[in-house]
Amino acid sequence: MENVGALALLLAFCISLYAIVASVTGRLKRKPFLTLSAERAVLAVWLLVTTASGILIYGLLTSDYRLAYVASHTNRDMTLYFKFAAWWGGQEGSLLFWSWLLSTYAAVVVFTTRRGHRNLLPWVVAIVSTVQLFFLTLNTFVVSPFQVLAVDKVVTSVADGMGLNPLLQYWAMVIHPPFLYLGYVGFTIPFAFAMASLIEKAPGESWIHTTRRWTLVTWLFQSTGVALGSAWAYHVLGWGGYWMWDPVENASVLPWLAGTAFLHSVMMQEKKGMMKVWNMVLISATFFLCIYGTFLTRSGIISSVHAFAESPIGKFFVVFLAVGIAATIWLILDRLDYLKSEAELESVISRESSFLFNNLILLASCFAVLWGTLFPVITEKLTNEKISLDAVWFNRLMVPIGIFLLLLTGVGPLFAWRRTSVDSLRKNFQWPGIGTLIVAAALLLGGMRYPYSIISLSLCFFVAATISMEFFRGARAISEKTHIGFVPAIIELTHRNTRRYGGYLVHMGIVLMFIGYSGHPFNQTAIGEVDKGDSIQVGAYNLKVLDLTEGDTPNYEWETAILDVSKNGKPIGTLEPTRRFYKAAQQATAIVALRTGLNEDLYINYAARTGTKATIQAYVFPLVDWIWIGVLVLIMGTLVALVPSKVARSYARTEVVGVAKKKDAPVEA
Amino acid sequence: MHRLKRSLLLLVVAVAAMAQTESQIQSESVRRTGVHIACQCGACQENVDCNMSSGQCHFCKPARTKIFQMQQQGKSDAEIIASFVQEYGQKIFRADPNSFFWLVPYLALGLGGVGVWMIVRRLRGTKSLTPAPAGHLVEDDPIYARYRDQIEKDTEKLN
Repeated sequence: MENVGALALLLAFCISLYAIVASVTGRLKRKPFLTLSAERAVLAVWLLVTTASGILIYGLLTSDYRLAYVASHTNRDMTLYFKFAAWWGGQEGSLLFWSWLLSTYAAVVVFTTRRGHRNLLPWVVAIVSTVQLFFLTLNTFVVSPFQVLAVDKVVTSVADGMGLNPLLQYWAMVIHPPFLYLGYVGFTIPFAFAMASLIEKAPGESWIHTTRRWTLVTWLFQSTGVALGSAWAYHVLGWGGYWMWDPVENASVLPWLAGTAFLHSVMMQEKKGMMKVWNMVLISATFFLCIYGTFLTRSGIISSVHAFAESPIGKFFVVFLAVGIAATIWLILDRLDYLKSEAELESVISRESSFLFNNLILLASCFAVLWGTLFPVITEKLTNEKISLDAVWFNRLMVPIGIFLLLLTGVGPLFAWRRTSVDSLRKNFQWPGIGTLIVAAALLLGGMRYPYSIISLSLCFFVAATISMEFFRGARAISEKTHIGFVPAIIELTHRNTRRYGGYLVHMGIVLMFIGYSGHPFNQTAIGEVDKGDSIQVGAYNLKVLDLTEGDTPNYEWETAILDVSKNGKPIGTLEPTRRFYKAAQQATAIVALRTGLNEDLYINYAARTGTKATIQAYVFPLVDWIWIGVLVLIMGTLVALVPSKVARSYARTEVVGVAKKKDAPVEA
Repeated sequence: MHRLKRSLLLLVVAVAAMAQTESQIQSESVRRTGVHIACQCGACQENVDCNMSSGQCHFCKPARTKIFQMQQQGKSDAEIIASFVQEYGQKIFRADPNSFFWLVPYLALGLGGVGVWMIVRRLRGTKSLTPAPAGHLVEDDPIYARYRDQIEKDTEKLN
């Protein structure tokens, strides 16, 4: 079986190579049958990679411990879905998963664009196949998932596998990597269309229109993936953090930041024909950051540059990134003339310039995160000394940037294209502005003393107010005109321009997430080594230890504290934080006891047992649930933006038709 | 007498060293020194406050206890770090980021700001539309005025 899998990958490698050659030759020599054969080759690659993946999954599900990958990432006690999830649990499998996703995307692109973009498609096929070829090179020649265990060249198997890290045996962690990978891989498609459009010097913005849904769906996957990782850290690791600026987290957020900048920036090109070069740069940056993210998490460079040097795949990634980035830069520079802006900026107070600032801030934060992730590695390489870089460094930099971005979220969408009149500024911002000041004053008077929290919460109010006003005004107009109720009017309004109002919902999701982040300075902590009958006080909560119990299962040993919880003296029930010690992996994990609420979470972790006493870590995290609610709203908003608008909109392009140079000169036609 | 005093003091230190509570070994002062010591558990990339195990891993907890004990003995941060380096080698040491590291992101933000400013100036400066002078035919001509109104209306819809 494993030989069939390895053969399928080898064949897929050869056919990908063929697809590149056939596609490029077919386009250059104008031979449509050759380009068609390249498109068919893409479908064949999908079939072959699917076969290989199916064989690996079969091995994982049936516990075929002759396969080294199966033995290292599963064991017999694991449930079926964790065994399936082991497909992306290790290096070899996850790179095969990358290949499979890319081949699937490529097949979908070939299928959906079979009737349009005849000039672009050959280049899209060639570019996607080049990326595919790179990953198939790794799958086939460097880190094959089909390596078998052998002693003296005789294939052998082990009795049981090593299993999956118990920390990862959690539902969010099972679906977190696929979502992230769907995001990482998905950006290949808009990148390929952008490059194809550059190569062909295709007029207009057809590549943007074609890939808008791809980009949005990909961005949605990426956002959900990042959020799932964050939720996993919060619920599983036992210390209540949801973002540590860990290099692996940074790897996932880097392409997200660049992709978000791209999503905003393309609007300038679609509506005004501006920022063409910039959009090319942004989509390329997003794509290469996706590859870089995979490289960062898979090459071992994070743990140490020495591990990276020993990693078999690190050098391949470096070469691929270097060649890819050089080729992209050359292509963009070569086609600069074709990317000239069609319109001009008329006023600093305009939608256009708010997009410029949005891009500046998103990219500056992207650079800061990249710098914080890369610099320690470079320093280690140069001085052999690692840098101590914790969340404090990132927070000091990113919190003000994030708050400024929140402000832009509020003001940007309400600026008019071209220029914004004073009247419109007053109409849109007067009441939200006054309300914001009142909220800030109320927070100050209420005793809040954390400047960032005050600014953040006030701005949250501001952005929420401006968005609500937009919905309210539009819905009221529709309601008056068509005599329907207010709620149906909101639905009608959103349906008429899903992109705009879906976008507002996404912004609302961001606002809710910021409300959650603003609670961070008010976290309360208590650590206690307690025996039966002892109590711990954290915030308004009192935790009385009713009992300390322990037990044993074939998979793990467990210890639990049964706590009687009361708030301000009022009993609110019992909580049972547990600690499990997995025997196979020789590793402990926490099953946190959580009492969630919109105002605060009570978070209790059973940290350790010393003699008869248990170490209990108790935390109160104010507002944290708003982060998860915000994520849900963000997902909903993106889904709304994906629904086609009821009214097909074709925007008239604002173009400069004449310039009045002198005072008395007539207006040029 | 002097010897007795010293013995008693040693005894107090020893008892204190044996009975560290979790909150003592997770104190701010232990953290301050701990950020320069990398966790060697193999699973995380943290300093000795391993988030993957709530700071309870087989390396972090004893390491924090050792830091606390040495602090109780009056050892300086440098001495404590040197002791860890001696035991585990240079790989355990984490240096503070230098000012160059701190400056670069701000410089990037500043340069980006200058870049945006230049774009704004370039896009506006060279070819900006000067408003038509008052009393010009554009204002007077009713046909022109009608077109202008229509344009204003259409562009308003774009927003």
